[in-house]
Amino acid sequence: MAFEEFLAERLAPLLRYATTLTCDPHQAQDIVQDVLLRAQQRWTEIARLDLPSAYVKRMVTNEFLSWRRRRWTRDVSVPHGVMVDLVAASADPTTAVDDRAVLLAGIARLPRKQRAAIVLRYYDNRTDAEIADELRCSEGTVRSHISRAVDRLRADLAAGACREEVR
Amino acid sequence: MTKDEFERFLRETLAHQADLAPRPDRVLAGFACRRARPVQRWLPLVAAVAAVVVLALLVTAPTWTGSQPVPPAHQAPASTEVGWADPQWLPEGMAEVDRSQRVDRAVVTRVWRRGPDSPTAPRISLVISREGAPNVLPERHRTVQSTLVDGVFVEHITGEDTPVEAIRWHGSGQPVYHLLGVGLDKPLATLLKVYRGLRYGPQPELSAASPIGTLPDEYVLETRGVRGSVPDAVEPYVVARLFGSDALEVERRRSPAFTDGVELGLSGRYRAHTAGEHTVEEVSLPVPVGYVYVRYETDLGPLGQERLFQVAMCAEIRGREPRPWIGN
Repeated sequence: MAFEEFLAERLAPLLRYATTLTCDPHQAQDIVQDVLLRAQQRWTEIARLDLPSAYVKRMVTNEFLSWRRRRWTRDVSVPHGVMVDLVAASADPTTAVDDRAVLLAGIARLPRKQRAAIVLRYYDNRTDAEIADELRCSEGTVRSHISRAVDRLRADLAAGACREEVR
Repeated sequence: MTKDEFERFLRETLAHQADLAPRPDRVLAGFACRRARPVQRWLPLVAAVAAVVVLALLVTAPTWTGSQPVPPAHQAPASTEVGWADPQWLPEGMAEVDRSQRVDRAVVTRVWRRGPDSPTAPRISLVISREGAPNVLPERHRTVQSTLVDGVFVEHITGEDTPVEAIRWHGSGQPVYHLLGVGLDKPLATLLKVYRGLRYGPQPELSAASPIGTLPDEYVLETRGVRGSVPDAVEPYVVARLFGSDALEVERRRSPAFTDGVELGLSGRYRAHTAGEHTVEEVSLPVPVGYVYVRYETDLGPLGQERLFQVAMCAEIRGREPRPWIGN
């Protein structure tokens, strides 16, 4: 498969995946471009692999995990309560959309490995073993990441519901 | 909400988030531009960033005027144009040595330098771009401080392992401005003083060697190229870099870029060689105002001497702008 063919076929899914990881389309674009630059330079090797797309996807994951460390200055930290208030205030009036906004804000606040584990499990439908391989950790660590992330996100949703009741 | 219900909701939410992904064509355009972006030898330094402790500057430079540093709304450029800015003040001895614009006018770069070109020569760069433009700041950098200056939110950024400091701010119409400094005395104060003296206006069209006529269809010249005027006392030339699936550069030179290779018609010359996995093809063609030099680099297949010669023949050469463009 030529690199251009790969782009035509796999770029859109890669961008969707990167967007769920970063919670930011601009960061997703930067990451995917960085990865494609490197992949293009080594394409003759990558193209020989059984699953070039899986390899490039892993490059995106790794870039996300390291990218946020290198470019942390782009992130603007917002206190938890402020973020929830902001999201709720601008959200759609329906409860489902409010909840979704609160959940997205919660995902964006997760530590990056927890976020990657959540995305790989619930967006990419990967098994514990596959996630462990992708994140280079044990399956137990994966389960721990997912469990903690889910608990935290459910707590965020519950807190959002309480805020609505108070209003 | 039960666990199953929550997990279903989480899946839906992530799918919804994925729907916000940028469009592939936009990413491809940026990718093509970055892939073909030439490497400047001073870039590692300028790519690092200088910054401004704005509060300290306000204290140390109280005589600055309160001029409005951000272009007024009516000057906000339409479409992709990011506008232009001219400094009214520069450190003693600094002269402009480079200016370039992307063909779609979405990125402008200007460089001022004191003394001969060297990695340590004092240098100031101004980059005006839109969000999503090629990264300007060094890979490792940090924001030292952010504060309001004349009603504009200005960030002071410094490279972590490079001697560069920068300030960054947003203008009307959402262009992003970066002022980068290398080798400056009192860099923060200097950059802020330049910033406060900027005057904004419409973006001029820079002179360049621009191929016209028949070109390979794969080149989308209007949106991905970079053109600029690069004065140099020894070897003045103008350059147009045009990016399609591979990198094509067209330059005007005062002397031939090479004299070996195969002789073509009209006393032009062609040569090809490999650089790693890439093939590099070059054509040098004498014209009344000097030489047209065309360089094509690809990792696919060579374009061929006839086709590259055709590109050189189509090059329209315009006169260089007078320089220096700016005095102190």
